[in-house]
Amino acid sequence: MPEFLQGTPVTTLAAPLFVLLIIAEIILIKVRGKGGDYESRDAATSVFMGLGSTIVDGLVGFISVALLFAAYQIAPIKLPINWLTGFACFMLVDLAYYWIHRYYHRSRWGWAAHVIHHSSQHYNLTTALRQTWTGLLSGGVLLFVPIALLGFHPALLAFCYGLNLIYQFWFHTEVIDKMPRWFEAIMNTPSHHRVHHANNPRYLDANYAGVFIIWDKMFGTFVAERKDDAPRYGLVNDLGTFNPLRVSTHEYVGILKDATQKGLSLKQRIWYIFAEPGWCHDGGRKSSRQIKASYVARHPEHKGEPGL
Amino acid sequence: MHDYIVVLVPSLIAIVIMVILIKATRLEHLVRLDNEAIVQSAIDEHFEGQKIDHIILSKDTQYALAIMQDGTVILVRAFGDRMTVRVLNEKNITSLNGQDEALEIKLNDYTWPRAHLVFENTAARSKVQDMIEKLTQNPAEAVSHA
Repeated sequence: MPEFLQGTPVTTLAAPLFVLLIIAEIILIKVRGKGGDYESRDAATSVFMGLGSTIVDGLVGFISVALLFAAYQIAPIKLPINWLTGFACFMLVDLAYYWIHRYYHRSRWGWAAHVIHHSSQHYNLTTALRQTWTGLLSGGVLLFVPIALLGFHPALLAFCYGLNLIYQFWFHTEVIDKMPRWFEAIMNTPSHHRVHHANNPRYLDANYAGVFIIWDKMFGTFVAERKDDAPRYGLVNDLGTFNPLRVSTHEYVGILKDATQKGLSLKQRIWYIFAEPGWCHDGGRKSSRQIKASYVARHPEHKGEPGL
Repeated sequence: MHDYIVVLVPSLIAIVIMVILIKATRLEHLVRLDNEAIVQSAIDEHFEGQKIDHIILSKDTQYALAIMQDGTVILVRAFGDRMTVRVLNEKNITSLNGQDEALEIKLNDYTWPRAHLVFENTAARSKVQDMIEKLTQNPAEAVSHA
């Protein structure tokens, strides 16, 4: 196995670059007077969440690694590690990422882990670092198992996933408006990902891609950013705390409260855990589909537009 | 352990540098709820199409109450350079404590610390407290008395 697959994770190696780019973004916003904003406690919370995520991954990441190695051990063929298999692995990891990410948004159990990343009302480079501490609990890693079963070495898989995450850092910004058209057509960009982070009804549950936006176009979840509906960032129900522990665990607390209410059937309790975020047995909350439907009812002229 | 220190120490230093830079560049513009227009903007964003009857501002400029025409009462909180909102109702108010000009509202919400509103005088606080207490029984009546 090549030496570069055995050392420090690439995301850790990229950390100094992340810091430099954040500093550059702050200075650029100040100089240009546009292209996003920063709030110190929000930014500190985001970076602290990223730090916590790195520490948790270091402590429990071996479980994911062991799972992938177990799958690799029973793979009927073991693929060599070279440029071709590296490229194929990168593409498969990105495809798996798309579905993991979609699951994170469409099931409350996945959302409980991923909501952290969407909990800031800002969209800047620190938002990229606002990562979950409970990713392992979500079970998302299971979608990488088929790649190991195909014979891709887990170390290569982990390396490709690291590159995938590094790519995702730079587009968490409002400093860049649009990339060249060919690039926007194929790759995930700041514009596409702003849509993903927005809570405007038309933008909810759109643009799940990691590196290549083609997956959203293939699977019908692509929505383009519009000038006449500027993205508003954050959650449908924004948090009122910067406390990292509360930010990290709030959806699990919500699940516990909801699923243990008195008078629910077993099916309703299970639904509170695994159904789409916003699902509610008594109509007290709205899912993203219901939010979109309400919006269309108020604005019938927008019916049928992408995302609505 | 050594690996963690290698990650932890530079990260904490980076956080401090970043916060100093944000403060030094004066990029953040903290919200102060000192006029009705800003509260109106928060309501318009989160409750599109719903009409406000009147707004009550807390003297500390950190909180406001928007009393809607349909009887709903919405608590608005300044949150850094943004705002957050919650509808007040019998399900999410855990406790309501008034003392002198101050009113403390504790919500059944893990992500919201207790809200501390400050009013002009005890009578104003008492009036709002009565209104919120009545909310849990009859929203329409509560508004007419506010």
